[in-house]
Amino acid sequence: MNTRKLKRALPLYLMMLPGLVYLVINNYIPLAGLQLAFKKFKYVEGIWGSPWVGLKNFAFLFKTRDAFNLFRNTVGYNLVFLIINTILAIVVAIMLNEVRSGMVRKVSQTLILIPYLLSYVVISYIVYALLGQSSGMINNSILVPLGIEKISWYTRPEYWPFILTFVQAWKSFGYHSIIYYATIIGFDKSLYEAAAVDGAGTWKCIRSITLPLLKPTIITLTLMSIGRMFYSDFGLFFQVPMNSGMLQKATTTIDTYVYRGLMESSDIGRAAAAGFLQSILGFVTVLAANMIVRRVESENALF
Amino acid sequence: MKTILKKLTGILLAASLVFSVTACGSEAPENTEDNENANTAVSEQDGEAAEEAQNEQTSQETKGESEKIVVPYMLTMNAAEEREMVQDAINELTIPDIGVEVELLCIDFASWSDQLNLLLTDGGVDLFNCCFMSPVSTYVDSGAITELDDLLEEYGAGIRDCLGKYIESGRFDGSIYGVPKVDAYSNRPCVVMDAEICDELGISPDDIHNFEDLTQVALKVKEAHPDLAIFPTGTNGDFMGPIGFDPLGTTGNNVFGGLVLADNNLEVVNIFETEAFETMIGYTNQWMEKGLFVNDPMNSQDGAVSYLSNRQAFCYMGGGFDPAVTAEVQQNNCGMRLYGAELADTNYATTDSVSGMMWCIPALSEHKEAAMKFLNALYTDSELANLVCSGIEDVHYVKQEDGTIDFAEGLDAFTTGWPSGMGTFWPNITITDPWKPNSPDYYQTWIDSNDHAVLSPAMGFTFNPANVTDEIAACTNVVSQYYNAIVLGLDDTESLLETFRSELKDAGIDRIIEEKQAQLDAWAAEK
Amino acid sequence: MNSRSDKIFSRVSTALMILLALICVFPIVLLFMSSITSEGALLKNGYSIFPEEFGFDAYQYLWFSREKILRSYVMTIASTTVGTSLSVIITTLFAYPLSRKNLPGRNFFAFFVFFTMLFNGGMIPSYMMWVQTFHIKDTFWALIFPSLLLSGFAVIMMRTYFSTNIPDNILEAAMIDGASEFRILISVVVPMSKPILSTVGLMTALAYWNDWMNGLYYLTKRTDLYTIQNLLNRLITSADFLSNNQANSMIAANIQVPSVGVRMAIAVIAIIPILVIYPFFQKGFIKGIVIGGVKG
Repeated sequence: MNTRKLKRALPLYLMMLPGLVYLVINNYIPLAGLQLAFKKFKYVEGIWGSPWVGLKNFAFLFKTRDAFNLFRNTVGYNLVFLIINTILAIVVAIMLNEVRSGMVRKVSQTLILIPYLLSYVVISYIVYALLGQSSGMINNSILVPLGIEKISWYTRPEYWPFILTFVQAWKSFGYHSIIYYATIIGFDKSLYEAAAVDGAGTWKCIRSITLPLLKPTIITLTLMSIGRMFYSDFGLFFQVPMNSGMLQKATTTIDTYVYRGLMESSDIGRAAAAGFLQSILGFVTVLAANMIVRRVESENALF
Repeated sequence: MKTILKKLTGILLAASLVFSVTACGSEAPENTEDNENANTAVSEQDGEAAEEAQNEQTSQETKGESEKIVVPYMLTMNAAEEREMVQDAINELTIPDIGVEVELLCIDFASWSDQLNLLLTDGGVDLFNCCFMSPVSTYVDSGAITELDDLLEEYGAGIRDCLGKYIESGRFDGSIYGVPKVDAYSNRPCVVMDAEICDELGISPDDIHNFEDLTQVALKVKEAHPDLAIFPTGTNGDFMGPIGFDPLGTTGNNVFGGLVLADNNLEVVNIFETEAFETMIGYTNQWMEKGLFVNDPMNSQDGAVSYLSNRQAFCYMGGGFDPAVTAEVQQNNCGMRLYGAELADTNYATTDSVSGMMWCIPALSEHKEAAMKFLNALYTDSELANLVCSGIEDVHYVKQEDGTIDFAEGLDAFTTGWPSGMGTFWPNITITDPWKPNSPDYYQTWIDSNDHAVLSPAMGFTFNPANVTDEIAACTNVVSQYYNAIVLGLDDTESLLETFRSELKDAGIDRIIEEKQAQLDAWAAEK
Repeated sequence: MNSRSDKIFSRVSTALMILLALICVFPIVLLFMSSITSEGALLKNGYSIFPEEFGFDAYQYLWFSREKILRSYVMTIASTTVGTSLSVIITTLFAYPLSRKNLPGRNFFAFFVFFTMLFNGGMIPSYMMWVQTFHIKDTFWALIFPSLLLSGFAVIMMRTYFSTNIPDNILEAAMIDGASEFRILISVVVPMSKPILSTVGLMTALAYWNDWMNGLYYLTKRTDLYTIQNLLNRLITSADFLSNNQANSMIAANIQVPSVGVRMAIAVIAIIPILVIYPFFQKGFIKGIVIGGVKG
């Protein structure tokens, strides 16, 4: 790297300085805690002085008959969520952009963000209001009038992949679509005007201008989700099914297993080990995904 | 990519170096002049000599001025506005008496465990109640708390006197690490019922002694009040109570091996495979079948008492040293008349029933002696105990003629500046004046009950789960999957029970039981 | 121009958006109705839009804490404003250089940011860092600094926006005119990026408004600095604690707390921020930016 180039980049580096310093303080230095995954934490000795125990802390994740189930559920749900969220968010963002009435656009933009603000505990009550066996609205107001027998939702795991997916999408679609919406309204308007002059309709514009221009954003967001592939939202998988044991086949994930398993002992080393494993698996996956993106379209790669 | 990783490791290394340096460096100014001594005392494992040195040095230090300690206090609602007022009153007593200045730190119940775990890392507290946290054994195992033997010897005579034989429940691997609060230690499972309905149907609490009697009563009530549910919830562990077992250090429904107390021996058995467990399921399944539970008991929304006080259920199952007293206490909460009836005939005391609330001193505390002095005063000084349990006389409470106390004029549980219901949090509520609806000798009945309690043969034994943590994690997950479904008979109970037992075996319940048995045998041999 | 099908498309979009908005509003109605239902009816029938019996105990319980609620609103507004402003500035300063294709080490820095999204060292080391080295415990800054100030997600989102929506040749033109990097950022990039600045601002503001972890862990002695979320969180957990522990007879406080209703009432209160914050940022979502004369 020659001096001239560096000199030109210097102001850019200076701009990044506050952010870099913050990340080092807030994120990088505390990473020292990762070593707890391989240690038995002793308060008196602190993080650095605690004795090493090798991979012992990881064993509890695999000592269960459910180990395969845990990983399959976690990754499976994340994949489905990723696909559905992306499609839904783009569709909503495009629709929002097409709404002509300013009032409808503004009000609906605000309202679709509301579910994002509710905690999963509260959402679990709402879901219960709908699905409760004896007093739930779906059983009482829909199934019974139609002459269908009541369904005991909280004991039948087969319905829950759909319920969880729906709840998750409902909670987060507003938030995701705002990101896409912001990107869409930032596009160069002259492109659309030129297309209109050429006689292209809305549908054509979406296909040949909006979607291609959205590609970098879609790729970025997808790559970021892939990094969290082995994490699951504890609230969604624990609170929303109301910790019902009979649903466990469909609702157990790495995080709920760890929570239930460590409830008794709050073992810092084991908790750290679970987190470390989730991170490292996500990390490897995202590196692979990024490599593929780089092969195909290097400028859209994350790094 | 490789280069990126390389660079990153470099940065990480540098960063962690900074971290270790700053972590050490920043501690220094917080310590007093004698931090060198204190540090060596902490870092030396077999630090008896060092400890002695420290003792000497602190006692010299306290001659002149008082030593300040931080004691966290649990908050259950938005009260404790007048913390400083109470704190000042405490210090008026403790500074001249024992040379200790106390700072009270209010922590929410909900974040109690999280916050204390953090405070334990930096010596931010000097004395704490280990309730609602992990079992004391985990803190012993991770070196978070200090041995109390020497401190008790020197400053804790009053504590020893108060606790007598029960002090043994805080012994782990030969040393005492925690002291239990003074309490009615024994427990007898009971049922608390709506008295109005009982009277209406001629049900007397004296007629109920077990699940069979209760079932008859429940059916009778259901017949008379078809709309009323009998049992509020299926999701807590209260049904297990009448089985009468010592869980040996595991909590809630997670009973991985225990002693059947009626057998009075030291044989650890799998409670889930006992006949008593099957009998219990037989009853609960029957209740479910006959519609005696509230709607959707698995998803119950609230504590059992709320169902009673809102007249949505007839009774709930609980515990306590005396069913009548349990009912009386609840009566005040519910604002309705209640009867208590026993579901078993013996009051058992186990290590677990004694050690629910242990007072411990953090290993990183720099004021261990002062903490012990203050703790000793909490057990023995009734003026101090009244202060922490009930607040300041004539400000928060007033004395009644009969010796009980009541809220000061214009105050109630919501508006008082010092929480009134949390007296049992402190080490010794039994030397304070009881609150109004109770009798003046209320706490004497607590103490007396301990004399009649039947001790578990494993009383004083504490299980160290360190070797079987993985198995416990796996078994806990199995219990959460099957327990409620089996108890409430949501599916074919017989086959579910079979799967439950076999999955527990796969998850390693036998290893836990073996470990418990081995530790128990070693403990008995030593004894 | 086939404007007829365009119109249909727009109408359908409008109808669907209204439908989606209704689906999102339904829970609020349910929450609100439940919060004014009597505790007995809640326990018997569960939550319902048409309560059997009304009851206002939940709001009465909250009313006891009205002074604190007001004070904590002030703290929330203060921390949200300060935190969001600082955060948007730092994020923008960080994201812009990352979007420059000729920045030496660009990939490394992007990776440096992304890495923080994957790995974290846990609560204990962060706590020790902020408390022992920076002494922010029991200060206002405890609400601002730990964990919330800069999110890797926001940086990467903004970087992607800059590199997608701001053509290189505009930057080059500005550079030829002799503008400094800082000048370019302020007078070229920022005005063209209002939508993403608003989005990031909104996300950050919501994160600050909703946060209760910082207050919980770092404000042990100065509970007067509690934000509204800390306070609401405390009210909920106290109500839950009391109602669940009465059966243990540990607590003999003569208190009946409508715990189910309180949760609902608090959830209703907690929705207020979106209605307060959103309009501020909505101004940024302006359609129709025309980048004149530039063809990519």
